Amino acid sequence: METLQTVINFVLNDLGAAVFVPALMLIIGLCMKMKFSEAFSSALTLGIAFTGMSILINYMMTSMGDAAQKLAENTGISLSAIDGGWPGMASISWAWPYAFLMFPLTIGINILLLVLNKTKTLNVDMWNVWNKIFTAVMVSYISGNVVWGFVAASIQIILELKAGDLWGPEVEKLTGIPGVTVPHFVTLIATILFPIDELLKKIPFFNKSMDADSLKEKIGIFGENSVMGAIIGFLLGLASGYGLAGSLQLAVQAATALTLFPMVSKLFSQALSPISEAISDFMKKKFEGKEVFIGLDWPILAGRNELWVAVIITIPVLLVMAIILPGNEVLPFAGIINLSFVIGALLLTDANLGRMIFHGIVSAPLFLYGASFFAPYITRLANETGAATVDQGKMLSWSTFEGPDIRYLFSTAFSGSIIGIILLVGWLALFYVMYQNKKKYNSTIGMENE
Amino acid sequence: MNKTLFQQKIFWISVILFDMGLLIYGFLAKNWFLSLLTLIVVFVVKRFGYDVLFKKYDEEWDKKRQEYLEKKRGYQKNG
Repeated sequence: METLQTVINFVLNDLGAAVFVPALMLIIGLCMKMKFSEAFSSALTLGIAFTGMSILINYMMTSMGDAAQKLAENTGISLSAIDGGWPGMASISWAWPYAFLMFPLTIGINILLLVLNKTKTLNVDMWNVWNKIFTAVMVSYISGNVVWGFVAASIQIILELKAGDLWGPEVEKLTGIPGVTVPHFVTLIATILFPIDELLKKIPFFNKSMDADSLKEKIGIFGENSVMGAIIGFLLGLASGYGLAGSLQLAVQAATALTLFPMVSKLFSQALSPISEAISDFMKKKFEGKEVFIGLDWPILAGRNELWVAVIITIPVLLVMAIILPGNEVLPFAGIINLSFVIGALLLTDANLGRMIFHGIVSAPLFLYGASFFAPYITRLANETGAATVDQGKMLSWSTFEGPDIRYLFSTAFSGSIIGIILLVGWLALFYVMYQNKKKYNSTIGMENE
Repeated sequence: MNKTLFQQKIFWISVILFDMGLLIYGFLAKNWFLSLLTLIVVFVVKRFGYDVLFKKYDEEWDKKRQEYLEKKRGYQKNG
């Protein structure tokens, strides 16, 4: 156990994604018979792209997050649970005594499903194993049985891999990178948003193309990344009480960031395309053209500016809901940038900004109630592990709690609640319907290899 | 890829990384001038480095997007 912990710590903390993933891709490229110089050049560009994307995402989370937090402070409201955001949850999850067992479980299930031909996704994103740990902890605490925690985490791993298969063609369409996907837990929110999205598609306003490229054609300069960035930065600055000068500065910074995002995203594409082509050629020769998606973390989608525009526009909605919803315990703060809905919504809606914002609004109560429901258990984990200090009479939570629907259903179903079991089966059926629907869509638009 | 093109690519990628560093520094230092400078630099990259870095990618992307849009329209028409 200690050796496993040392190895994992080295990979996750000492090397980091910007070194480990390119190194892994270099090895994969060489195994797929790429020339060393080509594989090395791709891996190096990937490392640069990872570093650049991390800098930009951190910047956006900090600058826009600061402004949004100021907006929350200005409400003058204080609720009983403190919002620790996802970094807080990740750090306390790693302190769980069984946390490191999740690595062999994740890798083992992935290999098994690949061998059995039940998935096309090879997940190399090891930085989000904490998500599985977090689910296992919550289910263990609520059901009172660690085994159920691991069973729930195993189902989650399978669902993530199936989601990876589902999103692969869409990821290619949105980023231009072939052969990669995002088998991230956060995309599973699309399951519950799927029926709503199908209804929205029937409404004339929402069924028109509304991605950044279409907006550029329709509204000209206002659809440009820099102008959109400047507008949302300026408005957020004003709403947060930054004054005219501070708002203009935020506008300039947001304009720069939103112009840089697509550039860094294209570096991802340039780095990953040769590796992906080599894998595709190799599979054609050796395995009769079997398709494989390399599963990466969600930042490969961060070059889509619809994501940032939707998430920033929905910040005030999240705040208002937190204030007016009866029974809500959490005021959004560290987790106020709601990535928990926007990545799933981006993939589900094909980057339709109108539908993404709608999903952000209707899903806000789900996240807040999820955060309120799980707050006592998160607080217990923090206190038991000593990974975070929570003041007496206060609770710790995460306002934009990832996957509140499925985690709630896992917790109640594995605690023996009949309603929980029925709803969990219903959720899985809905996932299946979405899977079939998207599969048909992917093959019709020719984004899926036959 | 020839040597000159490779060197040009490296140069423009370095400028992008430098600009990101400047963006963070300008934000932390709350420096108005640096923030404006980062925006100017990113426009310079767009104006002068675009062809070297992204032209080929964008041309392929536009072609793919057009094909996709046509197929999507067909899919929506047929329900």
